[in-house]
Amino acid sequence: MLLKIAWRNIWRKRTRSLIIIFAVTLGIWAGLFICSFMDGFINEMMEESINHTFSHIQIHNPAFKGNNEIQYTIQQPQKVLAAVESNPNVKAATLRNVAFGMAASPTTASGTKIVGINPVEENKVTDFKIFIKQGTYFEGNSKNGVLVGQKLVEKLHIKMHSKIVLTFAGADGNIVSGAFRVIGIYKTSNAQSDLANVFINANDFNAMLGNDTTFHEIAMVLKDADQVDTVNAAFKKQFPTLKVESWKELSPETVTLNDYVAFILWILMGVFMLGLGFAIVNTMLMAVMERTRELGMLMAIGLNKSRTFGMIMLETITLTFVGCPFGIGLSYLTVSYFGKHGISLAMFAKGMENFGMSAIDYPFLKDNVYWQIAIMVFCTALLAAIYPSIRAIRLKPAEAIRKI
Amino acid sequence: MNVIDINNVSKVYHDNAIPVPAVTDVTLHFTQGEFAALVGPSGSGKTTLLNIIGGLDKPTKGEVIIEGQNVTNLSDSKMIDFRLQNIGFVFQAYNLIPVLTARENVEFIMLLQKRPKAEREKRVEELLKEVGLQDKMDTRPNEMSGGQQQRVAVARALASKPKFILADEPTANLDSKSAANLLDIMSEMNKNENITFIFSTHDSRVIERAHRVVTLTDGVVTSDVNQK
Repeated sequence: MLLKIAWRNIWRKRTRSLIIIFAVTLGIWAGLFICSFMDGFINEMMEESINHTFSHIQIHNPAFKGNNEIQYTIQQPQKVLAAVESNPNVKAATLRNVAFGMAASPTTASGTKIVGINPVEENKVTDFKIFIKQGTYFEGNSKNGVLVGQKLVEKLHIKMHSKIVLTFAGADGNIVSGAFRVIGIYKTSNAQSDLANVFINANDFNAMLGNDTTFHEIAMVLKDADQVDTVNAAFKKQFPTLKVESWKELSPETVTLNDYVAFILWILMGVFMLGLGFAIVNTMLMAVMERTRELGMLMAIGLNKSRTFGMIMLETITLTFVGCPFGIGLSYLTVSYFGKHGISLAMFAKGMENFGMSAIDYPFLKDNVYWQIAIMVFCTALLAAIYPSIRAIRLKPAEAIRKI
Repeated sequence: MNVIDINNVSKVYHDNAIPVPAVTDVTLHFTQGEFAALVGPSGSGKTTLLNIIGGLDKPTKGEVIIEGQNVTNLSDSKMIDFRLQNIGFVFQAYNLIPVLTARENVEFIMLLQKRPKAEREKRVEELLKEVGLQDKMDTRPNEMSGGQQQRVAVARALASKPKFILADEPTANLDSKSAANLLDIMSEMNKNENITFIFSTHDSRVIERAHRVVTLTDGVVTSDVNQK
């Protein structure tokens, strides 16, 4: 019966209740949409870091990580690779060569990271191929082909099929260099990455070194991204002499940014909830004031304080929860739509690419965020209902009944 | 045994620290089946006395004993529970729950008493029939006349099977026909079911029907007349 009274009381002041329901809906939608908007950026950054650069976990010679010198290779890389691939959590793994050197065109040069990849295996680990805007990924047996980022192309004043010379220090300290032809130009949403990395076939890399078994890096992707920490810990134990790092360790700035944005979003949601809370308190206080006589009568005939308190709480929560599904539903539809079609931020594209962000944001929200918000709204309603409920139970029936 | 014993009850309010006596040294006793009216002009203390009897207000001095139980010093929560089980109220301005139908308004008090559903339904029908509102069971207060609303209030007051009913100016807002009709109903219940009614009123229609008239003047009982 108290629920029935609460429900019907909501519709006594239809306009006022509808305003609160609308405020709840709008508050939840705005909060969730901003969360999804920011999460979309962060998610894109993380996805890009994982899918184009770091993969989920990488393995190196510990010394290589210290000073990036080419002689610090992984010992028996094929054996380590086989062990990695035998782990049931690993979806795919690949070997890479890595050297830090120079890329020179006839007119200028730029410092670059030269990555030697096994094109077929790499394609299973990263989705780098989809970012090639001109030319092709390594196809056939083309020797000495290089994939260059759009930014580097502009810096070196080169184009498709141009020749560049890649130079780096060999294991013995001597300069090793080779001429490569641009077979593809790629463009990711991370302009800095496009400037800093060139990709060549691992066979060509090893040919330059005169050793076809040299590898510096094993990169792997997992079947379930959420298992990163577990698998990372397992490999650390399995390969104690090697440096095993998850993408979180390889790119701590991404993790920090993610945590920071999450923190900011929670603060933002807190501000939304505070606003919502005040709106609820205001509405319910008005309701209590308007119904002073009715509440006095109820207390006179035998509605005890706990029931009076519960009735006002129930009414507040019911009022709030009428708006909650609308807000969550609207958010879900909006996030789903823009998550699929994206929101173009082309006007900020240049600046955003420098931060490794895409100019198209695909809003994204984990399912649990919807529940978390619903719980936050519930808690807000609960807290906001306390004061009006206390005001209600403090009424003196004899005085309240006579209130005009 | 008396249903209500009011022993030397006084009530003093304070208006800006100035004591204002509302009721002074009142001693009254009511027995089962009385149909009594507390009368007097505005400010005479009749409503204050009614509130004290009903436990809505506490006396400054004296005691109220209901069926042998001293209720003067009961805590607020115990008093609410006591009222729920023992006292029926009819207020001046109908005071029904506007969002509930007549049936639900009457049933509500029995729900608070945690009575079984079957009993509630049976009693609601009986009571609304008794007050002549069997055809208004599913009507909300705003769709009923003042007289009809007050009859629902009487049915609600009786629903909890109270020891007595306190009615504060029950006819004040009613036209003559509705007032007469309401008084007929209450009078019938008093006669047939021996239900005790105590009114606070200055309505001559009520005073004429009352078996006992207690007159208050400036908070003091100035006459107590049995006119049965």
